[in-house]
This record gives sequence, C-alpha cells and structure tokens, in this order.
Amino acid sequence: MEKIVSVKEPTMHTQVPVNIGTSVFGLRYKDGIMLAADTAVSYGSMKKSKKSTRMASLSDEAAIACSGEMADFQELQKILKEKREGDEIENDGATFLKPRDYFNYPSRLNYQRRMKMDPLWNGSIVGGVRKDTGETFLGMVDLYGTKVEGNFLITGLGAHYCQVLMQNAWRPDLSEEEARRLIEDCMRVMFYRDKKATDEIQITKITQAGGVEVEKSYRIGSEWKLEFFKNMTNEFWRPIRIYQ
Amino acid sequence: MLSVNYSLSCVTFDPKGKILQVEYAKEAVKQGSTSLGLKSNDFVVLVSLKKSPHDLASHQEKVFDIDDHMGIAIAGLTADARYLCKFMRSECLNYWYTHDSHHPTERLIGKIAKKAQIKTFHPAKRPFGVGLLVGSVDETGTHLFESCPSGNYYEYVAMAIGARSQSAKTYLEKNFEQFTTLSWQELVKHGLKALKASAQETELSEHNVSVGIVGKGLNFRLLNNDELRASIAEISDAMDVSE
Amino acid sequence: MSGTGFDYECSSLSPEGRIFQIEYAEKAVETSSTIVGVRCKDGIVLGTEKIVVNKMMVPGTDKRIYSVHPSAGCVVNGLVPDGKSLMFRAREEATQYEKMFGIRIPGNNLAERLGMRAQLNTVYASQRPYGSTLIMATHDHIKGMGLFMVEPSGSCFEYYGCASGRGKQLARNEIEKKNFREVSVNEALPLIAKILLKSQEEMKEKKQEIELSIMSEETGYKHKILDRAFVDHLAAKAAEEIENEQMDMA
Repeated sequence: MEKIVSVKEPTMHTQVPVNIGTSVFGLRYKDGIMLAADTAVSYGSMKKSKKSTRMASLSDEAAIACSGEMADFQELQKILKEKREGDEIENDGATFLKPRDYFNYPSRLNYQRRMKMDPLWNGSIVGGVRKDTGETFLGMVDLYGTKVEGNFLITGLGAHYCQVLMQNAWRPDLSEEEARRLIEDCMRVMFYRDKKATDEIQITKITQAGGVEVEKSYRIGSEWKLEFFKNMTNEFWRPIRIYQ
Repeated sequence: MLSVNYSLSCVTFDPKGKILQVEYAKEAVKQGSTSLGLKSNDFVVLVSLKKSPHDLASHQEKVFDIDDHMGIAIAGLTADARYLCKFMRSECLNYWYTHDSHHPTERLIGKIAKKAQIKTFHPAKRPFGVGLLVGSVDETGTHLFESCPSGNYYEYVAMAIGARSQSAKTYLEKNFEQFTTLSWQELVKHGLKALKASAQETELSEHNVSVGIVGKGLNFRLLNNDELRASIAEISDAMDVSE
Repeated sequence: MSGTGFDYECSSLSPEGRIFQIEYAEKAVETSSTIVGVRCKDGIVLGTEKIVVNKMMVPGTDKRIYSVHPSAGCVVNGLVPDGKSLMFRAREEATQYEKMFGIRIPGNNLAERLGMRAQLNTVYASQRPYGSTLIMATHDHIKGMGLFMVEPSGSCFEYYGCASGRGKQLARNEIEKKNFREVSVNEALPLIAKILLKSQEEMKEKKQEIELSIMSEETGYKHKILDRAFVDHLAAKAAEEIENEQMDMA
C-alpha cells in the first residue's frame, strides 16, 4: 500500500496586527517625563474605537504608552501588573522594580517572542521618574525587542513625520506648557497625515513630586479651511489628470 | 536507640514534633570548618578557614563569587554548596538579563530557602548539608544572611557558622556594635581576629584563609595572597602586643 | 507517648483511631510562637511573637507575616519554612484563579484550597503533614472580609478570633474576654500586642519581638504589614503596661 505522507503547513502565528493604535510620543521635560497617544483604535481603515486608553501606569513611578496591536498591549499590561503585585507583596523593605526594570523586561519579552516567530506586535514607550533619586528614564521597545533610549521618542508613523519637529523644538528645560504644546503640534501633524490618527489625545505626566498622572483625554483643534485643502477637490484635479 | 525509627526519612516527625533528618543536617554544618561574615554600613566581609584533605592537596575553597554585588561563604558539605552556588549564579544572571539590574538579596535567599524546604518535604530527598553566609549589597544597603538546611534564613550584622564557631561568635558579639562605620580593611581585621579565636591551634596563613569583600561601589572579590599575608601579619602583631 | 509502631507514617491509623504523625506535627506547632488573628469592627489584625535567638540579628528578620496577594495576608508558626511553602501555594492559587476568572479569589475558596492541600499531605506514606498552622486574613468583593485558620491536619474554619502556638490557651481566653467586634483596628492593636507578649511569659527574660499586620477600611482593605518602628513602640508600651499590672497584683 502506498504510504500516505501528510503534508502539513508550517505553524503560523500572527502575520499582521488586527486592532491597531497608531504612533505614541514620549519626551523629557523640566519636571519629568511626558507620554502621549491619541485615543483611536483602528481595524483596517475603520476606527473601531475613538475612546480607548493606550497608556497605563505601571507603578507609582513608571508608565507605559503603546502603539500596535491592542490585544498584545492588554496582555503586556496583565503581565506587568502581575509582576508589580508580586514585587509589592514581597514586603522586603523596598520595591525593587524601578522604571528601568519595567523597560528592560518588555524588551526581553518581545525578543523572546519574536525569536519564537510569534511576536507581541507593539511599539511601546516606557517612562519613569525615580521617587528616591529623581532620576528620569525614557525608553522605547519595538516588536523585535530593540531597546532605544533618548530624550524624545516616537513610535510608528510619527517617527517619520515628527522626528525633525521634535529635534528642532526639544530642549532639556522645556516647561510643562511648552512640552504639552510641542506634543499637541506633533499630534496635529499626525492627525492631518495619518489616517489612523484622531484629534483626541491623552497625556501622562510622571514627576518626582506627583508620581504618575494619567490625564483625561481631550481634543486638539484642527484647521481644514485652508486654500490648499479647498483646491484638493475633484474639480481642481480632474482637468490636470485627464488633459495633462 | 528507638529514635532510629524516626530518623531515617524527612517525612517522619518524631514524637517531639522535630524532623530528625533536618537536625542531622544542621550537625553536618557544624562539621565544616568555620566561616564567618560581618558588615558595616558600606561593606560586607566574608572570612573562611579552609581545610586540606592531605599534605599534598590544595585547600578546599570556601568563599565563592556569585555576582558583582554578592558572594557566599560556606560551612558543611562543599558539594551541596557548589550546587547552590551554581543555582545562585544562574539566578543572578537571569535577573540581570531580564531586568538589567542586580538581583535583590532577600529574594534570592528566599529562593534558596524554598529549595531547601522542598528537600525536607520529600521521602526520596535529603536536606542540604550546608549552611551559607551570603554577603551582598543592593538598593536597600548591605546585607549578611545566613541560610540553614531547614529552610530558615536570618539576617545578621555579624555571624559565624561551622566547627567551633562559638569562639568566633563570642568575639563578634563583643564587637559588633562598633562595626557600622568601619572600612573594609578594618572589617577584615575584625574578621581575622574572630577566625583566629575559632582556629585554635591552626596557624592562620594565606593558604588556609579566604577573605571575600563587597561594598557600595566595590565589586565582590577575594583578597589575593599578598593582601592576605599582610592582614594576617597585622593582626598577629597586634595580638602579640595586647598579650 | 509514642504510638509503638503506628506512628512512623501518616498512612496508618493506630488501633484507637489516631494518626500519630499529625499529632506530632501539631506538637511542632504547639511548642512554637503564638500567632493570633482577630476580627475587629472595621478590619482584621494578624500578629505573632518570636524570640530573638541572637543579638547580632538585624531587627525584623525572620519574618512570619506575608502577603498572599494585595488584599490577603497570612501569619505562620511551627516549622516556618513549611508554613512559607503553604503560603507560596496560596500565592499560586490566587494568581491562577485571577488569571482564569479575572477577579480576586474569594477568601473562603482560597482557605478551602489550602485546607485541601494540607489534608492531602496527611494521606500518603510518602508525605508528611505541614508542620505549621497558618492564619489568613482575606478581603474580596463577594464575601467581604474573612479570617481563616488552616491546621496541620487540614482542618480549615472561619473565625472571629483565633490563636495557635504555645500561648494558644491564654490568647484565646483574652480574645474571648474582650469583644473585639466592637473595637476598631487601631484600638485593638495595643491590646493584641499585650496578648502576644503575655503569651510568652515563661520566655520573658529573652529578647522578644512582635510582628503585626492589619487589613481595614483605612488601608482600603489592603493587607498592610506594620513597620518595625511602630510595632516596637507598641511592644515597648505593652511591656510597660504588663509590668505595671504585675506590680499592682503584688
């Protein structure tokens, strides 16, 4: 009898993310760290939710903001929460997980998962200010497990559009107001150009005195009544397209 | 003796509620030569008296390097100690890899204690026959822990374990209150004096003494032969004068 | 009294129907530190006393009160490593339940699971009972607060007040005398410190230390182990009071 050889497809894991949040921002300013993200979650081109929180506090001195697959973000949050609780219930005189630990751990996790060809599809920014020393920390982890630290960090499409904007405007002594304005500018740029962005944004501040404050989301204004946009009509373009 | 019946396995309590296997394991710790540790606010020092099985053999090492911030001194079965030492080293490396920081001391001791407890809870296992003194520095300062075969662990300012450790303990008990502000050189001197009290006839030399130091901004290391010889000479001079 | 051959493993009953290995394990508990758990008006207090065997010990080492999860805590006595291993089991059960069902494990479930675990260790020749008693305070959104005690035999009950260890009888009498259910946690703390110190009367020439933890409305039903300085202060006050009482008696 002929031997039946079963031909099996190779095991396949996540090939594309499904529910996607777009770019997140993080920057150092005078008092500490500011993280920002908009509140949209897209399913393809559709906005599945326009009121989602894409950031979370990890302890009283660290927070994370996440772009990419939102299910993976929720999983990561669960893992980190378990870690924090495990750390806190030890009661050994100090909580040992510092902002840097909350940064390094996801990076190792992401690297392990990507080596299994089953990545957590996230670009995350972790920020923190240590309560005891006031030392600030800002780092970015991508789905490959790469670690990047810097004074201003952007994930996703924003890294292409807003890098220069940030580079020109960032100073180490930015006041809170200036930092907020800079982030709003970046977010507005993204709203004009990124189909997955919205004009509703959320900011998390981390300071030595105040700890982690996840603020309520709010709308940044946008201006569409420009000549440039008026001209972007079919009436304007049709003759050019056809009779060029 | 009747207690033989209660003593063969660690899953049998004797009528007093003791587990004799664990008690015997504690005896094994007392068979090993003296190890002691002491700490100040900034430094921890571990000191051990080494034995040599034969004139032609080298001395058995008793102080081990675990990580940059941690070292151990042992008394009891060296083979068991090496197993625990290997475990601690790999835990420290893993912690370093996942967290980018040093393993918190008490958590690591907790892991060892958990391992030790399992060995007292299974019919086919025996308790570890070794006591560890762990010296380390972490975010919460300097630490000196003692870990027992029973799975208990305690934190000390200064402690001695092993054979004839009582004399060393007496010396340390007399002096531990002044340790807080000492430099590591001073601590080493106190450690060697305490060890001398326990060593009795054995002459201390750079061959049979091991000293490990660790501190804030000072990675764990063993003193080399020259440093040892100098320190030992210093304390024997001092003692001659006092006598 | 030994069981003449029936007391080597817990898989055999003696002709009188006793399991000697469990009794020996209880012996380990009875000769060790007193632990108490008391339900008060607005919360629960856990406490233990212990002898400091060596003066070179760092204050507060050799801990016997642990958190199981943020709103559950326990105190153990007897063979402390055994108690700790049971506590680790409780932590595992709690995280596993929370992962599976998305809510904190209800206190009675957690206690029952620990009781089952302890019972299982009294059945086989290849195992021994846990040589320690565990008192656990829990809070959850289904049952509210609960105080449970798990013993080496595996028995597990909910209590308003319970005690175990060498001062068990004395502590239990004291707890029964005072109606703690009408006393707030903050008022109860000095009383419990006093009970703990009294219960180790015969050891009082040795240096002693107490440990206390609370879970109350004030802490948001989180288990909070009280810090060393505060507990030492309470202990010093309680010791003074006891001395005064004895002076009055004499």
